[in-house]
Amino acid sequence: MPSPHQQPGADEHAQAREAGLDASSLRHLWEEHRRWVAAIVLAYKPRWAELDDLLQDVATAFVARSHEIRDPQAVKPWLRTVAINAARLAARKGKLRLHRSLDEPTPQGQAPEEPAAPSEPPASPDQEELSKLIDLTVQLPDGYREPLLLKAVQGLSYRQIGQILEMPETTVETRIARGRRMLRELAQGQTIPLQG
Amino acid sequence: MSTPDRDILISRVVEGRANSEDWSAVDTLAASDASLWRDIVHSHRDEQNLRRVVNAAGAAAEAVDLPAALTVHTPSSTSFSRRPLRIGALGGWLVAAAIGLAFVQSRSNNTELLSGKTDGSNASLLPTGFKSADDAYKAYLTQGQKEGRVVGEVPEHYVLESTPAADGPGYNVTFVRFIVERQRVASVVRPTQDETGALRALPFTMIVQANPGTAKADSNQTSPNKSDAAGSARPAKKNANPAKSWD
Repeated sequence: MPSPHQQPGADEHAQAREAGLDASSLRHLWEEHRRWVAAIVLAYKPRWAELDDLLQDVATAFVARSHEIRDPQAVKPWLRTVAINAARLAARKGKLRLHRSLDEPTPQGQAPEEPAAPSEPPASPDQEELSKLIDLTVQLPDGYREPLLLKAVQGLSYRQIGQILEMPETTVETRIARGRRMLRELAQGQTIPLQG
Repeated sequence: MSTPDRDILISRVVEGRANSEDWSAVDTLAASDASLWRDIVHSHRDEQNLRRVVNAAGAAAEAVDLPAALTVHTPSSTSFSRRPLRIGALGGWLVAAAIGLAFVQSRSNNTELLSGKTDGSNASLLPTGFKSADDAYKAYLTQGQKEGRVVGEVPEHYVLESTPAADGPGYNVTFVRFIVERQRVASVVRPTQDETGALRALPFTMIVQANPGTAKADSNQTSPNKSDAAGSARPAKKNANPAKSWD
């Protein structure tokens, strides 16, 4: 079990400051943070969107908007925002793409359907269980789903999660604990048979 | 020290962070809460599965590098050869039209376009009355559209290179801007290749026939076998590389 009190990459941040976020600094920052960025994208991406594509979008936005970073200590929450925006933009684009053409007016009151998930080979029972877990996780409120997924990132401490989410460690611990309970209750709600 | 609540205790046990006081609290609670151990097992299973999913996502992230096209270049890398201008990627007809226009435009016309001369006199590069290149550019677009010469600007720009500004925030971006123009030309050519594979301009004659279904036809375009070098002429036949109008 990884230690919950690992130190952040202070040397790397200082280096980025001195270098003025040159190519090497940008690359280093991206490599340092991309694993937990993937967890954030996972927390917000539409079910049908490809994680690889969204991560590429985040990487592109990271470079294009890196000039917005004034304080290297603020990279984590800033990068979190970029990741969330990329996932939400994908969700909006997906819905727009499904709107009917002008030749085929949308029937009144009918909402556009979500794009179909890309075709995949039949899932193993293990994969099905993981898939169900993700389906349950996305039902959690944002404030509980994010810290729960971030905690699952190998090597990420409570302190680092707090820096990403801009909240105290105690709040992070509480959110994760509550998130675990909600997840249990959701899972139990699916498996408990109806009382006749 | 107050006893942590049930959710916190379960969370600490699952993460392996429970200290001796936490374990005592778990023992005490379990005596009266039959579902405690079941919830600890379920949360432990969920945690293991979430880690598998998130670690898979992390592995996918490790395969994603920063885009090469936006990677910062060193000041010495001023060559554009690493980012060849793939105008052809916009469509073969665009290449053909560009070459065709280049062959029929005279040098004096090119000089006028670059220098801003309108009456043959030696004028400065920046026409008088403009405070900046942006003002001159906007005036060019406006006036050009009035004259019917400028159709518009292609909204997408092709970025060749971008580097962080050395003297402040922001980037210095080098890009190509495409302006769509329409001109009356004396003749039109079609790009072709000679026996050596070199690109050559082959003059050709457009033959325009009136569309029988058209209620009204322009007199310049109705005569069969009549060559019409006007930019607005429409060829009678579709061919591989038409000198196409912009409409």
